[in-house]
Order: sequence, then structure tokens, then C-alpha cells
Amino acid sequence: MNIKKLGKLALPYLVWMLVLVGIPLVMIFILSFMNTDGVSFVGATWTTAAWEKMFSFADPTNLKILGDTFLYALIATVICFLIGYPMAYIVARSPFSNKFVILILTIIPMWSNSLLRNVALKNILSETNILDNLLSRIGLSFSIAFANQDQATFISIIIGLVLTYLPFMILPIYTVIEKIDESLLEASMDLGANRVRTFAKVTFPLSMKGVTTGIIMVFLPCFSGFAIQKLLSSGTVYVLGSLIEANFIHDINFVSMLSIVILILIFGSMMIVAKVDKEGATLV
Amino acid sequence: MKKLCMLLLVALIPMVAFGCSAKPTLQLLNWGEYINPEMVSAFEDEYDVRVNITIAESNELMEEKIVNDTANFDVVIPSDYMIEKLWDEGYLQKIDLTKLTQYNQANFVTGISTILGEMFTDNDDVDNPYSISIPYFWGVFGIMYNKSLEGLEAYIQEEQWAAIFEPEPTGMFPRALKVAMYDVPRFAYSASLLYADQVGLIDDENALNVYSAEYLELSEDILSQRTYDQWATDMVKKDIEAGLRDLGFVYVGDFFDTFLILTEDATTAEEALALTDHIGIIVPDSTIAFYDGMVIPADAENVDLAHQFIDFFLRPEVAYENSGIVGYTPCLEAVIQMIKNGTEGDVIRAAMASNPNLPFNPSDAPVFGGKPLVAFSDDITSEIIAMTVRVKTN
Repeated sequence: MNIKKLGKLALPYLVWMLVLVGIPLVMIFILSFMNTDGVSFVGATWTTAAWEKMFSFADPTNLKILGDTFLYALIATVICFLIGYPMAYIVARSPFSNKFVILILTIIPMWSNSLLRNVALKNILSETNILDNLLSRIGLSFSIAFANQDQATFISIIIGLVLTYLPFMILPIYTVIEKIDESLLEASMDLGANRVRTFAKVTFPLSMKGVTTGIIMVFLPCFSGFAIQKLLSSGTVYVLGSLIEANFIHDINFVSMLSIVILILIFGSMMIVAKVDKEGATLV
Repeated sequence: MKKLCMLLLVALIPMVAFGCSAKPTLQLLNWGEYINPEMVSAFEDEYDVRVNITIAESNELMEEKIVNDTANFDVVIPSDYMIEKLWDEGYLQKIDLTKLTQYNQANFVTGISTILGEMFTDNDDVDNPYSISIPYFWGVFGIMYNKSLEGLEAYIQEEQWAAIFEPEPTGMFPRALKVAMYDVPRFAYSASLLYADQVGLIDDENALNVYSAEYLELSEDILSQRTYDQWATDMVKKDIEAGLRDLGFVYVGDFFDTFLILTEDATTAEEALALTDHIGIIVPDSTIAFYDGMVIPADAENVDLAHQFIDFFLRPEVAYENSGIVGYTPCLEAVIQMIKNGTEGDVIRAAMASNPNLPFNPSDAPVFGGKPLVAFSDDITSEIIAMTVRVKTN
């Protein structure tokens, strides 16, 4: 059987993708420029009302939400990078024979449901928490004191996002550093570079693929998700995802527009990945 | 090839078996965990039929399922405003009350009469709201609180809605109150207008069902008077019980749900009351009320069977068993009495229902001002959602 014949086998998949992904995407795009009654096109009119509602300077609420969403995602990504890179580097370069075990340790928490982990985190961060409850039996107490409600909310959300998505930063960076040819580092040292210089001139540039993938794999879910933010702020913080949730039933056009905004961002990042990582080696 | 044929055959068997079933099937569209499955089985056995239950998570999803005609449902259990909307749009048929042997309007609690009295008031073709829907469960909104803060209970009883919407006087409590708001924009909007009427900001007792730019602005101002520590639905009751919030705006059913969870292992009334000593609930004099009613869609296929089903669930003993699963207040006076007197030996529920401090039947109160919400259009609802988003974000 030659490859051409095998290629035909992909046809059902293409049809499947077109019907279940392609057409809905086009529908969402069209809906964002219309005023419809639910998903019914009866009596629908063309309008840019949904886009104006989002990018209105008269009522900047939605823009502020966009900014907040971006800010949370950005800070969480930076912290994930600052923790994740050294960790991936140390594990990959360690003489430890079974590095896999250490990696498994970072993945194990992911085996439990991420929402449950965040419910537990929320409990630990609140005044009456399970640790305090346990420690009080031996006369100790535990509680994290925040200056005010806003600070508590902000810090809780960042901790939640970092704890949830950190493994997505570590793994791609680890994969890339692990693959770097040891002889390149030796060559660098032979030519007189010290360890710092070797890292800056050889290791780090060679690990950029993993860094890009890691950043995108952390940033995107932080930006488009809302469950963690909603849970840890007790519903007092709005992000783009929660706007979609709140408006889903009553304003499908606004929701479509929000989805397009998120999609643009996702496609944009995919293009960056494609540019940096042409073989797509770090994604798998 | 042989294997493939076998596979196809196996795949077909369930379909054939399903198609062969000679029993008529009643299609029920209901909320999740909103019926006692044992009672459904009892109905199936008694009438030798099958009941197929489809679940919807909101009134709007129920509407979608009825309107889109994905299946012909025989009985649906939506809430008040959706019943009115579905009737107005022609998706429901009248219930033939003469076919219901158990039906007697006088059997329903007074709260139900009050709510149904507010239904279809501008509709001349409905002379009896009970002929459109038969009440299934009902309830009101109230203020749930944790008693750990001294003086809070008296403060809430005195201030009612103001306890939720107004910042408390400084120095009244050793620390700032932590207040939770119910995260359904429509409820927050209507409750804030009930508060406005209570404190005299407006003089309009029907404000909860009125939408205007002026009221929207008023509601935004009211909701911005204090910062809420929480906007949530099911978490509110849990957090108040755990002492993480002091008070919150909840369904009264949420309180009783919490009561039953806390008293799961209790065996005596005293034990039950001791376990729930730290939480309380009050119902403001004027509040939002709701009921869920059994209706028959216009395109139902088994109309007679639908009537038999509704009739079955009007039997006091069936409704009693049903209410053991569903935490809301039953609509039949006889059932409430059965629970209060503990005639079936359920001392915990008897302790809960007969406690004069707990509004198990809110219409027992000297003043009962529960009003159902009317349906707002999608455009208005979006405006209200945008308003609460502004309140939370700015």
C-alpha cells in the first residue's frame, strides 16, 4: 500500500473536522456580527453591537476585565517560568540516574482533579482551614493573614494558577534541555567560557523551543479558563471566561465575540510556536 | 467480515429490544435529583408503563428542549416565570382538572395560593392558573446567617434586607461583616429593589418585576453600597455553615438542605437541634417566591398518562416520600403536617419542620409577602448581567 492510498484514509477525519470544528468556527464568527435570538437566524440583523460592547471606552468594564484576565495570566506565566526553568534545568542536568522519578513527582498531583486541588487550596488559604483544625489539637495554629480582601483574592488566584499549570512549564523545558548534546557544553568550556557564560550562550538559546512551548501552554489556559479564578475569588473576580459563562444563555452574540477574541489569541500563539519550533518537537 | 457482521448485530440488539417494548412510555423533563426514583418505580409498576426522565439544568434549557421539539415530553416541571412564558408562546396545553382525582385547590398551602394568585394576571384566557400547572415544590428567598457573631441574629431580624445591602454601623460588631450575594444577576437585581421598597427609596412593591433604566441604576448603586466577599450559588450555604461568611442571601431550601446534611447521623430531635445550633435563617416580610409546577406540553403524546402521573404525585403519601429526597417545601398542607408530626417516624425532619424559629412553611408566618418573578426578555437580562459585572469589576 503506498502513501497516497493511506492518505485517503484521512478523508473521514477531514470531513469530521470540517463539520464539527470548521463550520462551528465560521458560525461563531458570523454570530459575533449579528443580533440573533439564541442560535436561530429568524429575524436576525447585522450589527457590531457585540464588538462595541467589548471595546467601549464609555463603559470600560469589559476592557478592564480583558486587562485583568491578561494580568493574571501574565503574572502566573512569569512565576511558572521563574520556578519551572531552574527546576527543569536542575533535574535534566543532575547526575541522578532516575530523573524520571523526579518528573513523576511533579506530575503526580495532576492525577487528581484540578478543581478538587483548588477547592483544597481555597480551604487552606481561608481563615478556618483544615490545617488549623488539625494543628489546634496540639496547641498550634495556622492561618495566612492577608492585608485585605483584594490582596487575598489576588494572591490566591496567582497561587492557584501557578500550582495548576507549573508542570506544563517544567515538562517541555526539561525535554529540550535533556536533549542538548553534552559535547556542545564541553566545547564551550574548552573554548574558555565559564559555567554562566555557557548557560547564557549555549544552554539557554538551545532551550528556547521548550520555553516558548511552556509559556504558551501555561499562558493560554490561564487566559481562557475561569474556574480557578472564580473558585479562589469566591466569584468576586471576573475574567473573560466568566463573562462567557454569565452571558451564555441570554446573549449568544456577545459570547461569540468573546470566543473570537480568545481564538485570535490562541491562533496568534500557535503561529509563534510554528515559527520558533518548526518541527513541532516540543509539543509532543 | 464475519466478525464485522457480529459486531453490527450486537450493536443492533439494544435498539431492537428498545423498539419492541410494548409498554407506553411517559417522557418526563425534570431537574436533576428532583424526584424520588422509588416513587417513579411505584408509578411504573402501578400503571404498567415506563417513565423516561430527561434532565435539564435550567429553565432556559427546558424551554429549548420543548421548543426545538427534540422529543415530545409528556410532563415537564419548569418554574413559575417559564410556565407563564411557555403558555404565552403556545407550547403548553391545559390540564383537565376533572381527570385528577386527588386535585383540590384547598389542599395546597396558603403560600402556593398567594404565588398562583400572582400568575397570569394579565392573561384573560387563563381563569384558573392551576389548570396550566400543578404545583410540585415551592420556596422563598431568605437570609441565612452564622450565629457566632454576637448580636448578628437580632440585627438581621431588625434590618431584614438592609442587613444584606447596607454596610453595618461601624463599631457594631468587632469586625466587618462578611456577606455573600446570590450569584444570579436577576435575583440580585430583584432583591435590591425589594430592599429599596423596604427602606423607602422607592414606593413600588412590584418593583422586583419592573425593569427600567432608572431602576437598573438604583440597583447598581444599592449593590455597590458594600463589597461582597462572595458571589456564589451553592457555596454560600456551605461557607456560612463553616463560618467563613456571616450572612448571605440564599434560597430557604439551601438552609434546610444544610440542616439535613448536618443532622445525617443524629437520632433524636435534641441532637439534631444541637448540631444545627450555629446557623439560622429568616425570611424578610417581602421576598422573592418561586414554585415549580408540572405542566403538559401541547405536543405531548400520552396526555392521559401525563394526567395519571400528575395525579399520582398529588397523593399525600407519594408526595411525602418524594419530599424526603427533594429538600424544598412541599405544596400540600397534608404533607407538611405529616412531616411536622413525624407520623412516618422521621424525628429529624419533624424537629426541623415544627421548629417555630425555622420557616419550613414560610406562609405560616404572620406576614407572608412572597412574589414570583416574571420573565424578562434576553435583552433586559443581558443588561442586568452587565450591571452586576460592573458592580463586581469596578
